[in-house]
Amino acid sequence: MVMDMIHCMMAEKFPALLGIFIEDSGLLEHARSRLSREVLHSGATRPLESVALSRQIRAQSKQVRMDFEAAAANLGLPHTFEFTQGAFFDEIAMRVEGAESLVVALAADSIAVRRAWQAASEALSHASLQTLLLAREGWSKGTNVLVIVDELATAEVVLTVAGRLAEQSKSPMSLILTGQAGEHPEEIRNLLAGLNAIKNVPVQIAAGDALHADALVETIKRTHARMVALPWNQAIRDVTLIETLLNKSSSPVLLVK
Amino acid sequence: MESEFGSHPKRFGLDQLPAPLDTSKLRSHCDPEQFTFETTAELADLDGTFGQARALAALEFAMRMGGDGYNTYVLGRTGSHKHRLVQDYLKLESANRAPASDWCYINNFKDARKPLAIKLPAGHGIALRDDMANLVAELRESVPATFESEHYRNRVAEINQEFEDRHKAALKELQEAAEAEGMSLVQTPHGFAIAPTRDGKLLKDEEFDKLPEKKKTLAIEAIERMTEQLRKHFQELPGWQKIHRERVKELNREFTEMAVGRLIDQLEKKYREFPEINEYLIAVRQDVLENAADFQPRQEQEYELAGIKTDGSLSRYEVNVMVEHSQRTEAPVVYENNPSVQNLLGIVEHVQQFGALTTDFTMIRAGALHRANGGYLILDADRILTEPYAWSALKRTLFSKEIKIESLGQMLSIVSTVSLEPQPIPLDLKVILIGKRRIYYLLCELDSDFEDLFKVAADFEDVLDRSSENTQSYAQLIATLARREGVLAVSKAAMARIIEHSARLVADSEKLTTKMRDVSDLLREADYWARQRSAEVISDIHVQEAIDAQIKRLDRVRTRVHEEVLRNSILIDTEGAEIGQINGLSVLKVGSFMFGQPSRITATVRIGDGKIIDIERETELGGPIHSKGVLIVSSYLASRYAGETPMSFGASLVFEQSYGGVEGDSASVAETCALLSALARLPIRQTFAVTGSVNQHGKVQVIGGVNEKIEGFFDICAARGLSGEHAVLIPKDNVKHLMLRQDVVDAVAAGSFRIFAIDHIDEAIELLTGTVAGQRDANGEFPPESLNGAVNARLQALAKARRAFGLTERNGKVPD
Repeated sequence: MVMDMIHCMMAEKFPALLGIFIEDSGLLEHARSRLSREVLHSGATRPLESVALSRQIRAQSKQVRMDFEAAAANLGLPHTFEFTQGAFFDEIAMRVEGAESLVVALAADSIAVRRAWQAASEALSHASLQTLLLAREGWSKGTNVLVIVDELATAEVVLTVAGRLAEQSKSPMSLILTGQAGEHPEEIRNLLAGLNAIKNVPVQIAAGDALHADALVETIKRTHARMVALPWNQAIRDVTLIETLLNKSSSPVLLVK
Repeated sequence: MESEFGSHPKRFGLDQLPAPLDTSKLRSHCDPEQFTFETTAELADLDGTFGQARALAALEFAMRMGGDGYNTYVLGRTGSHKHRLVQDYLKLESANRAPASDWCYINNFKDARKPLAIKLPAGHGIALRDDMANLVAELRESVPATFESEHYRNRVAEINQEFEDRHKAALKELQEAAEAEGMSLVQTPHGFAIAPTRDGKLLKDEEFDKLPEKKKTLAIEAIERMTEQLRKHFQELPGWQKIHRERVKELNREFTEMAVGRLIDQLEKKYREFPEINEYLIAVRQDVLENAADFQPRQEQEYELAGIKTDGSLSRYEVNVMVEHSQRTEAPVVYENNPSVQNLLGIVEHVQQFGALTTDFTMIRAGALHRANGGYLILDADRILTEPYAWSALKRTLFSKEIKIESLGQMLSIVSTVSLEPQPIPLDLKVILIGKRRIYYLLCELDSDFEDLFKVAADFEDVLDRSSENTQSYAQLIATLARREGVLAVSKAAMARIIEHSARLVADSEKLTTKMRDVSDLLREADYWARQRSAEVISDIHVQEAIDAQIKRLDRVRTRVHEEVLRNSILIDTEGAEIGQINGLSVLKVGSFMFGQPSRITATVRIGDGKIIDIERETELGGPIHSKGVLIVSSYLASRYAGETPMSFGASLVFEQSYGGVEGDSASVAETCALLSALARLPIRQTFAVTGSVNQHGKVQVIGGVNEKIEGFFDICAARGLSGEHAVLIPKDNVKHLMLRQDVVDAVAAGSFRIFAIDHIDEAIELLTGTVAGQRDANGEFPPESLNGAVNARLQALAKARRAFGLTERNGKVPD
């Protein structure tokens, strides 16, 4: 699914993919403490043992690699894969240099949303990075690409990226105008009319209130969004907004710079 | 004509003897002029049956008689067109009955191993099958469309979201609890791990060791509490997942019902008069609701196996139409010419998939009993009796009145693999067995079930009367056969010849054969010869040519035998006279061809105790009937001549140069005459041959093969040159059986051959010896100049000699 989205967003650019599996050093540190306890999905408990943990993580990474390479090959995208060990923040920061897009995939029951978001948003400060896609395993299959536009300055870039994705995936688009964009809907309409990327995409425009996380979650559910795209601007840099979206919604979040 | 024996005890003139038969008695001529047509092209087909009134009345009774066991055995000779007549009759009978019901097998959703049978009016089976196929096709589109609809996705998304939210909330709660406890909660590949922290960082072991005991205890207790919370969370998770699944399942049922409901409602309305189908549709609805996922596109499930296309599990909604009668307006008439168990009862087919045999209700195949159900089933008796277990299977089915499909392996309990047990289908039909008489009688005698199940015998006539009315109908029958065989039209002369031949086939001038296969063969072969001669119509010449060719193809043995007679390898006299020697007549059957030939029978006489030695019997070459004939001869002689004097002669009888066995009593007249000749020392004319059976009173009785026997002797005599002296003696009661060849009749007409019909042994011996037989006078004495007188005198002399021998034996003196 993630790969499909990448392909849709960047098909014309023929991107090369770098897949990274980060073995969190913090987790290994836990294993070194004799007080650590592991509670398994079956309900059983056992001490957290570092050798066994390393083995599990290696096995997991192999599976992830196989899945990544298969998906990339299927889409015809050139790709490489790396396995690394270290702090989440640091590893992302090191590799994002020169990248155009960052995709962070989280497990369905991940409890590291905040850390992931913090690392990812930090990475967005790099000049080369244009888009950030945050996705959780098992997201619901929505039908719309939901785009939030709150200012005119960033409208074109977010509409272009989201529009490309909508056209490639043959999805309609729901456009919520809020803030400054909400006050100038005609300009947005003119902008839409001039965008080649979405000339074949059905677009529904609605006005929305100021960006509130819970309201946005409700909008995602109501519009059956398969993804929500937002511009990366000051208003949206609010940590709790994105974190709330990731915690309370199943839709992937695409931030466009 | 005077006797050639010169002076002898008084011979009487042959004008006092029975006159030879007139030519009119030798062959019953069929006059073509009795027919009103020139060729059979002018005749209409014979409507209905002819000549089998008894059999057809029996058939009609059996077909219309209710109650158990009124099935029919049709018995008669092979070649009498029993099959055709039975089938023609049943076609008429079946037209008066409604078409039979359709029978289908459907899936039993409660137990797939026991498919259900349903009965429908004719034509409805296919309709149901097509309706179900259409239903599945529609469901294949509507069910996936339902699950792809936005409405469904939204509902599923809501349920999924609810579950996710709950899960996430629980995890968040755990995280917050961990933080509150001063713990770090992280994810591992198989779950979660917790460890104590201090100031937001992991507490190392050495740091922990430095803590006061109380703090250590608190930390350990906190770890235990968190561990317990996590465990509780994971224990609850399966319960949530189950609830989630059930809600999704319930949602699926709701949406499936939307897709399915209208379609099945329509079918239920259409079949509302059929409770079984409505029950079935209820089960279908339930099954579809529970297995909606099966209707999702599954391309990888479709595959071809042995030409059978399957699409995974959806075949369970098919309808297997076992028998259908949509094209029929009458009851079925089925002839099964290979009545094996599976051809009768049907079969459950299997297909091999990846090394295992699999089957389902769609692979049940109908047998003849299914196809004939509601109508009539025709079987050949000899075929069903020779097919392993077929006869017992048929009987079992008739007794139980239901058709139960079982393989031979299952019947014999040699196969224990689990297979289908299709619901038995009620049986309602009449069985008509066609076979030989011998089989019928054997079944009556040896099979105690037979007469319970086949109460009616339809006995086909072998012959019919050659009345003028029947002759006309027979001609029409032949015309019908000719058209059916596609042969040229038959002229009236040819028709007459065929009718004569028909009488010859049954060896009776007053009868006609009903073995129509022989007549059909003759027609076809006459047609062949006619076409060879570029004729447009079959004439009597072509018919004769066909008859001659048939004989020619088969008479190699006869030709060789006659040749050996003419070459004197086989000794047969046709001139002069001999004492104790006579030309008997016998018939040989080689395959389907029968021919007659003369046989020399000799008798010798000596002193003895009255016993006649039958050399054939002594050497075990004589059959029981032959032996009986000789014993009758012996009794006749004893009763005629013994009187108050014991029989003091011994005699021997033999068929000279016969090494292959003798049976029958048709030579007993000849044997008696040979003995009398030997006793009276009167020679028997060798220009004569004799055939006939004699009883204890000297009465001459009917024999078989009279035509062949006469012709056999005639051919030998004709080959050597007919003198006018040559003749054959036959029983008087055989005259009606005469249908001799035309050349024999012509020879008789020319006076060069004669045939005499005799009634008593005295007539035979008079003709053969030219001597009066003689009757007892008031004193019980035979005239001394008569043959009987001579026999008596000889017997007296032998008795005297025997007595003398006996006295000499006792006291050495020869009495005066």
